[in-house]
Amino acid sequence: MSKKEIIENLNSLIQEFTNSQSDVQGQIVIAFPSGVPIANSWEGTINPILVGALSAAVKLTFQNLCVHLNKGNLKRLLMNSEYGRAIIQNAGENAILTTLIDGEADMLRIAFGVTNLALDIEKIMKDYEFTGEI
Amino acid sequence: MTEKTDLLEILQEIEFITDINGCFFINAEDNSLIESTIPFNIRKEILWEICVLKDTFQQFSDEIKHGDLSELMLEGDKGYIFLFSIPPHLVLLAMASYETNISYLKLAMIDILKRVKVRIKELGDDVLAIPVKEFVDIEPARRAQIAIKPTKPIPVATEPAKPIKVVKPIPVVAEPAKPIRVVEPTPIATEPAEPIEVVEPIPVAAEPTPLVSIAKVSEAEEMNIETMIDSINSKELTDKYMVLKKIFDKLKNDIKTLTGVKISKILDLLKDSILNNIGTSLALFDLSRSSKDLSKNYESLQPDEINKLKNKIDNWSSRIIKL
Repeated sequence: MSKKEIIENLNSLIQEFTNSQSDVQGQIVIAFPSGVPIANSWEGTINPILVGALSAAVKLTFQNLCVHLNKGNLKRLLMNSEYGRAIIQNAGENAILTTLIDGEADMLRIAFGVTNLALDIEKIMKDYEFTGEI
Repeated sequence: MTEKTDLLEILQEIEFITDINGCFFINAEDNSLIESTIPFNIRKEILWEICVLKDTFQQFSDEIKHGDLSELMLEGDKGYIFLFSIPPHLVLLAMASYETNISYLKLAMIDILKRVKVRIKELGDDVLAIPVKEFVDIEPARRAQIAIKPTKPIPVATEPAKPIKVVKPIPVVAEPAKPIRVVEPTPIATEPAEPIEVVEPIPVAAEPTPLVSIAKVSEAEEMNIETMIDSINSKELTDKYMVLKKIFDKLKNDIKTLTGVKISKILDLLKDSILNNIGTSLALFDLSRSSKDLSKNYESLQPDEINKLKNKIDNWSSRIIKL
């Protein structure tokens, strides 16, 4: 699969998920270790350095923290804020899936869906190698 | 002392009401552990990153218009870790096992956190004066436990012992030692050394050195770091780390002579170069934040600012360079 096809597949996958769940605001797939967003269904802009920092945080720091505190490997991170939530989930070795959710969303349903989606993304991203071109 | 007792009481109350087993209060201002219910040390670099992450996720929350950050929940294979932001200076880190009922825990924490936030707010800046709590690292402690623990002798079923046949020793006849022939050393003939001619030093006319202003010197130093940053592009990964280490060391040496704006420019260049050549790291976010702060300072840094920046550079170096 070419890089263009991989990104097209990713985009359609997350767009489909976002459209099917009314309380999901959008999703971003971030390539690791480059920390570059490669697919996006969220209608907004985010500082790329910030996105890179988030991906590093999840893959490195929080993974370290989980291992250090004897909680095994990190599976996902849930962020709760005043008006909403975000799930940042590992999607294999090469990617991270960030899902932005409404404050009153049903977390159980979304967390379940996001876990399945992460597995699909992992399969697609298996052969992906970031070279600086998107 | 009373503040410290108060904090411990709060943590014990959380453990008493919920299924949380292990609570820590982290001072987000100086990245230190100030109170905990279990004698477990968290590594300094992890504490640093947790405190930086608090700001990173706050910024992320702002960008996606989700308001103030209240909680981060990490789900591992074997359990959960919660990070609660307790304004103005603290972070509450709590651990729970995988069997914990999260719905009940979340429900209980709504009320508890409300009370904790009020009590911490009452303590105000006094919280910052609480000394750091130090514990032994878990690995040496475990090793010590293993060493001290007495082992019980395991009973083993044995057959009745047979009488051992005593063997008489056979006497060994030793031959008398032969006398050693001593060889006398023969002197080696050496040629007499030639006398060394003493040459008088020729006086060299020293060229007058032009006076260079301090500003030009600092510019040259900055150029030097810039060239070093450029050279990261054309190296192997190990070499890249070595160059990066040299850059960090040089930057530490040159801080006194550079203005905040110049250091900010260097940090920006460094951040881009690391991002392109080595990859992303949370330290880069920290680095770009420091650069942003320094970009408003048109003068040389104060001694305490220099010390803080040197500590930061050491921290970035330890987090980015993996040799």
